[in-house]
Amino acid sequence: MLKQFFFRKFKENETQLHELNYLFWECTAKCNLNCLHCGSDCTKDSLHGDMPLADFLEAIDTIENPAPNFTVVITGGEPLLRKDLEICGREIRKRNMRWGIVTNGLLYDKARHVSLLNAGLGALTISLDGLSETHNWLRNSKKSFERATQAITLAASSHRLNFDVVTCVNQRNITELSKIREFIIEKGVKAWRLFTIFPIGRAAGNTEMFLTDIQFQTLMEFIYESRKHAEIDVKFSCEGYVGKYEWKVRDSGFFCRAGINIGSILIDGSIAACPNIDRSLTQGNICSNSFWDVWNTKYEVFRKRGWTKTGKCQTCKEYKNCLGNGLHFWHGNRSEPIVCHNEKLL
Amino acid sequence: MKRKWKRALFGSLIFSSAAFVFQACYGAPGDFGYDVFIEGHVISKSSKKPIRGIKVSITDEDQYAFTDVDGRFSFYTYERKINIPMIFQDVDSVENSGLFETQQLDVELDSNKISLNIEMGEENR
Repeated sequence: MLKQFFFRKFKENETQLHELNYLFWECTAKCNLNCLHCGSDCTKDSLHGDMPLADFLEAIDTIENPAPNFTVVITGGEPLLRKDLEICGREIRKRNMRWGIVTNGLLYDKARHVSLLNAGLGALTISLDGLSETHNWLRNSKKSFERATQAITLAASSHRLNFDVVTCVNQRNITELSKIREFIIEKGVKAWRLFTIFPIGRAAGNTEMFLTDIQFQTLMEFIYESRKHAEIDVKFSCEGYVGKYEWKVRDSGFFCRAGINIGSILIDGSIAACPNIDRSLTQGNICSNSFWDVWNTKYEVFRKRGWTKTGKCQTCKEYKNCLGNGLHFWHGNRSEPIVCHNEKLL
Repeated sequence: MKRKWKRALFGSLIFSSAAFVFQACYGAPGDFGYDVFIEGHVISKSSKKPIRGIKVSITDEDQYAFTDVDGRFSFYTYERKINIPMIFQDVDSVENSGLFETQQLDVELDSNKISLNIEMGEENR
């Protein structure tokens, strides 16, 4: 109880500080996979061309005195489709910033691994959504599991990378979590993050993507039990507030830092919080605004979250700890979050 | 300043360093590791001209780069407590206007940016 009190105070203070620690760059909307659960509806031929590197660099050059360990996380689409990723990485490092990528691993071979390390890559996330059959089903590709596994082996061999594997838990892989854990431990993985899938993009309407309340409880128990063993750091992602499992399934309590410590530059130049947040909450555009000015003068909707006390959140006893769950669950007319993790656990 | 002080106070009261170390839910972890930047220029000992295509490797990690047309290379590698063992090899045989002797080097880590000037002797056949 006391811990929650101090954590709320900590979150209030972070919200006031509004220090930019983490910046997503949605560098491409193109993807070499066609995953069944893709929230962005990414395809091989996106309507958006890749953002020119010069435009992105001009935007980050407005950032004055970046916070210690400020990290740019390059995402997509699939960022490895960009041929200039290494040039971009070196430019980021020249500015005393650090960088990482999130990838499906399909193009992550030995040569690319080395060239990315050479360019100062420091953080990496690779998606693995099951063993061969379940992963390839979700990723909609027969070669995806083999390639992702190769990428994981390479990443795990590096002393330099802060690296983790992420898994989107669904109806098909919920029963094989223990086997996936054993598999990635054997590959040398030290950190594993588990997600659920939420109903936007291609996932919307596909019931196999979503866990029942009992399955969600099973997932929480699996993570809680796995965290008692030292072989691998297993955690639930910070996607939402999980009530009685708070502090048990993650290193910390739930804190949606979107727009508080996390910003984004999206494929069309939009300045936003996290890329998966409803794009109506865009705060500006690098074509017409200074990124740094926008970060310092806007983002009020993310820092003052009283507007989320509506719909099912209005009378919820956990609201003061949850503050409306992850902001990426607020879509459309934002009458209430499309997912409440806590109610699945009641 | 006051808010940073409060951050440290509340952070310590919740007994979790994770309050300071975070990652966005769909993003990569933060990069809190340390590395060093190594750059260099490789020339021929006899002609003093730059040599392209020399493979510059770190032998205790599977990491390498090749010199460009100006004989230059650069890369980041993780920070070690020991010297960095490096090897310079002419792997394209005589394509780069000569055949050069392999050279090994233990690079002392005295800063996080290291510049090397390497002269490679031609191999006698």
